[in-house]
Amino acid sequence: MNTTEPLVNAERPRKPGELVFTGLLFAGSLAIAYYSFNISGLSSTSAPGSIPMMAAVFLLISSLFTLFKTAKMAKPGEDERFANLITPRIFLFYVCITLAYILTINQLGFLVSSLAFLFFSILILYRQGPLLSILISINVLAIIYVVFRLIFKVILPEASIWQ
Amino acid sequence: MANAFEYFSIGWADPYLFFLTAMGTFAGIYVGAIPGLSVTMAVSILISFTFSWDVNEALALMAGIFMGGVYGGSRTAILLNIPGAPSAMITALDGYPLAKKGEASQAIGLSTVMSFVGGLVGIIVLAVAAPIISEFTLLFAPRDYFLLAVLGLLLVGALSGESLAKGIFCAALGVILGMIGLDPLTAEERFTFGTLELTGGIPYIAAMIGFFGIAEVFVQLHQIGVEPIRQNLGKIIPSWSMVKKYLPLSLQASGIGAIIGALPGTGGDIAAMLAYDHAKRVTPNPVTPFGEGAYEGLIAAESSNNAAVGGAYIPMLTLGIPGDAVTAVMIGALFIHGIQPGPLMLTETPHLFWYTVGNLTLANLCILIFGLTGIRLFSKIVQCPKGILLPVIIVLSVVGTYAIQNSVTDVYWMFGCGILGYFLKTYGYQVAPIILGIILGPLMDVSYRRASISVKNDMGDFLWAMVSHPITLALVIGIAFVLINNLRGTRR
Repeated sequence: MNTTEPLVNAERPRKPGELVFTGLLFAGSLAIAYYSFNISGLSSTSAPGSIPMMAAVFLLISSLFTLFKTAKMAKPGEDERFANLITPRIFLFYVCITLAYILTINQLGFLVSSLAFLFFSILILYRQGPLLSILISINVLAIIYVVFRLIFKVILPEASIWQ
Repeated sequence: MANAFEYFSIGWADPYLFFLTAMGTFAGIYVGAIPGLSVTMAVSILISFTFSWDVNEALALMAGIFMGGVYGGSRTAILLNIPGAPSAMITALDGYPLAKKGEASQAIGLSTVMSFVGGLVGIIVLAVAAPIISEFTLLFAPRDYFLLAVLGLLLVGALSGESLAKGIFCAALGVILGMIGLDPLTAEERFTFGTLELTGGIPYIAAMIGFFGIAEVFVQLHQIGVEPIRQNLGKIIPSWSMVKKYLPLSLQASGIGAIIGALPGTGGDIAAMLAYDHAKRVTPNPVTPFGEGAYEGLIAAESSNNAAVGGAYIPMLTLGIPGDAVTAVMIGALFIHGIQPGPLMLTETPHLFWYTVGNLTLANLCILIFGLTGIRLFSKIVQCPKGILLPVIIVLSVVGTYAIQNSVTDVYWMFGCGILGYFLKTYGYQVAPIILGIILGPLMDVSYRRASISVKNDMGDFLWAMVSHPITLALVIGIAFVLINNLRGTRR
């Protein structure tokens, strides 16, 4: 099954984790409705909570409808697992490395963190060896730095670790 | 009239001003085309070093960047399914399927020509109708803006993919995300949970980059081993018969774009959505279904979003009200240069108005030239190995998001939206309605509450106003029409 292109205009089977996900969205909608009501209650139609409550109602109804519809769908095949289809190892690796990149960008600075991110990403995704990966990374980063930092004068994070 | 033509041609006759407009267009196209970057960011950054320039030079550059950026956003929308600008969201719906079929060059060629047509229509509307339209929009009451926002949200039906309920959910989620922060009317905190980071809300650009750029990168990871589609570069310039075939639709979409662009607070993204919906209505049996590579969908979106540029200048120059985020930045730049945009601008400084019209016309011509000659280079982007392209997109997305407010918190929001967007896309939700909700939510909120306050919170009076005022009644009828269409579409 292609995980990323749902069938259109056809009754498709449920994907692994889909029921849980729609359930979480419904739970989230309940929380949003609760917080929306707490903004200003039903004090007046021009209160700050009016539109949030209206939106929350639509969230609740649509998520509940989707939850029921998803529950009625055929179950996924036995060989289709959440870990393989929805969160394969490549996805988990990339999420982790991206998270590490953005969490360290302030401490290490844009250049160091971006170079490390590009190198490891290209090494794993492009699979042409460390030498080519580092060459591509340096070239790409140089272009980005010249264009954005020097020409457009975009402020980029400086390393706080040395300060 | 002779003076108007003289001012119009200043930017054409002066070599340096000509060069600035052309360079601005070129830069706008390439910045607008880079996933993770935005036209607003490009204009914001570039305006910063035009402050010391002469006002004519600054206006020339800004006009080029704006025009080029709106057009450029369509390129990555077509090639990579990552819109470079909000107005290119709709372009991706049919543009990307065309690229997957190996028709990227035809798609880009036709969208370039139709963008040029749209831009021309927008400029003509600006030049001819600016005084008339500015008076008309003064008649809009807050309830009319509220209804316009509701109408925009109802168009989610055209974007919902496999389920209208999922589309409504995403639109409502977008409205909630747009509410985060301080209430603009009372400064009350909404959904901030007592945290300082949420007080300023979630930057719209960060959310857009997250939902479209980062989420798409994660989706593409599943196809990392797939060979890139070799694009057919045989016919880049569309045939005259093809242009003639789609020209009527392009002109209709351009008209919609110019009018929507002229409305304060609405821009190319909403114009593209309305035009797309219109195209679906007037093309009941397209050769290729909408959403699967229909040229009609592509043309409607591209014509209207470029026409909206000219339209957006109308409220900016005649009312001093931004037509969209980019014109909001440009109004600030005009103030810095000592120009007061507003109703008196056409009477006190008509030369600036006609000079701007001339710049926009020149920028529009540059789009045609640069767009048709640079297609081969851009087509190659899709052939670039994904193992290199995806990490570069992440880095550019981080740069673009960080540049909004020089805050790494925005980058965290971008990442969070990316993760959520990935799961939403995987399970059949479209993320375009979320962005629609973020854009329209605040407009809907403020307009509705102002309308309520004006009738002292009396719902009876509020509802009576819906049918007793002509403009309001026209909008209510429009909403009913779209609602019925949506429900009919669901039953089918």
